[in-house]
Amino acid sequence: MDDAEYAALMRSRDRRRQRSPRVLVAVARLNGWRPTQSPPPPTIEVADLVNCY
Amino acid sequence: MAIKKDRSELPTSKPKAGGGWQPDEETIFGPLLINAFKEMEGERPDKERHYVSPSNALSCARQLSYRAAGTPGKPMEPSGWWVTSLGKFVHRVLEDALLDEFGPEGCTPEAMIGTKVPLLDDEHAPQCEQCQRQMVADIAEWYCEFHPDESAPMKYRVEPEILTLTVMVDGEPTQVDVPIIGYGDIWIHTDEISKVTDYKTVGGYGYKMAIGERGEAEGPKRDALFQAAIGARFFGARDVSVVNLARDALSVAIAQRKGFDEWRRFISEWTVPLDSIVEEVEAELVRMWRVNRLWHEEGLLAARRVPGVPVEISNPKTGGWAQKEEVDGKERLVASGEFWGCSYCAWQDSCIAAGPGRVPLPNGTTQDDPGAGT
Repeated sequence: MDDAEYAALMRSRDRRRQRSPRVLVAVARLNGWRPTQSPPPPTIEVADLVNCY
Repeated sequence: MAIKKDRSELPTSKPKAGGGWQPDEETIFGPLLINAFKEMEGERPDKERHYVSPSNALSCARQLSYRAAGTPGKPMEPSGWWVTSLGKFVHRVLEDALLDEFGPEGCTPEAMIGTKVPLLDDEHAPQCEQCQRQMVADIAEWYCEFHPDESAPMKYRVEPEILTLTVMVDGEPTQVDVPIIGYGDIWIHTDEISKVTDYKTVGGYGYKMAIGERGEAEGPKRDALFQAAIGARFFGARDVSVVNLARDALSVAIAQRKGFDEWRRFISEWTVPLDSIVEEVEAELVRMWRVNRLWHEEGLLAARRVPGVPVEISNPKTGGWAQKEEVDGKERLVASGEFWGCSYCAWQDSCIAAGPGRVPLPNGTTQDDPGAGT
């Protein structure tokens, strides 16, 4: 990491520290998020998909 | 005296032809705005492709053929520029915000599948042995103290990445090397989060259908999920997600009636584990590659087949299809419908002219002719 990249990283971290509490709460929720749902079943059998052309 | 209820917010029941306050015949601002968007975004020429792109996942096989052949489609209409430019604006703002939040070590916006190879033509080659290459954002420039003003942005070509997949083809496990070029909108790779996400700006009606404002929540479009999933499969991310951003926010009244919070009035996210769809995603990559090979190796356009539509589209003017089966010795219609995509397809006219099934391009052009498909 060169000086310019390091400075950019520090600026980015500073900006993060200045975020409002509300944004930080949203990010905390994002960090703790785990997918809980599965997508709907496919509309075509996987075995048929490769031949759908 | 009778009390009058003000219902001026509701549409009038029977508008008179030419009545009301009609808009001006022509627009001054429309062409100026769209031309400005065109200059900002630039137009991409059609070119032959010997690879597949995640952004074309689950699209019509015939359309994939035209993309493989580099056949120029109808230019995008102003309304298309309007909608796609809004989407790109949101992409850029989100990219910056995510980089600020997670830092370059925690996320990769526009995560590329493919390798950039510098093109060293005369204009972009170093001017002398002292010249150094410096990356400025995503553009490489050559310069040195002797040639400070002679730097020029490098040009690149992009080499596809090869993904080796083993999928079931006609009941047999088959190994297929699929070349891919594309981007994941955002790849988040922190200790906590490992996912590739696709952002989609969507119309008001589509958004309502997706989140369950009307009936059961349909979720995001499966092609958007696949686009992100191909990125996740390539980068080794655990999860896949789609963000839908409505171009028009739901009204306060609807949100209150449905119990939606303020965010859901315009933004919703769906996340699933890649494992839950990976088989289907790999099969789709192989399908896209087989369509590509059908053109480049056999000179044939694919049939008008769309995953999820049980038979070939018989009327590409409307997207109409009709599934018939023999019942008691007689052919009977068992299902029919209209695929929405045909009306928006840039190759609709070519597709109508080419006819159904796997066919060569009309006029005897083949994949070997210079300018085939033009």
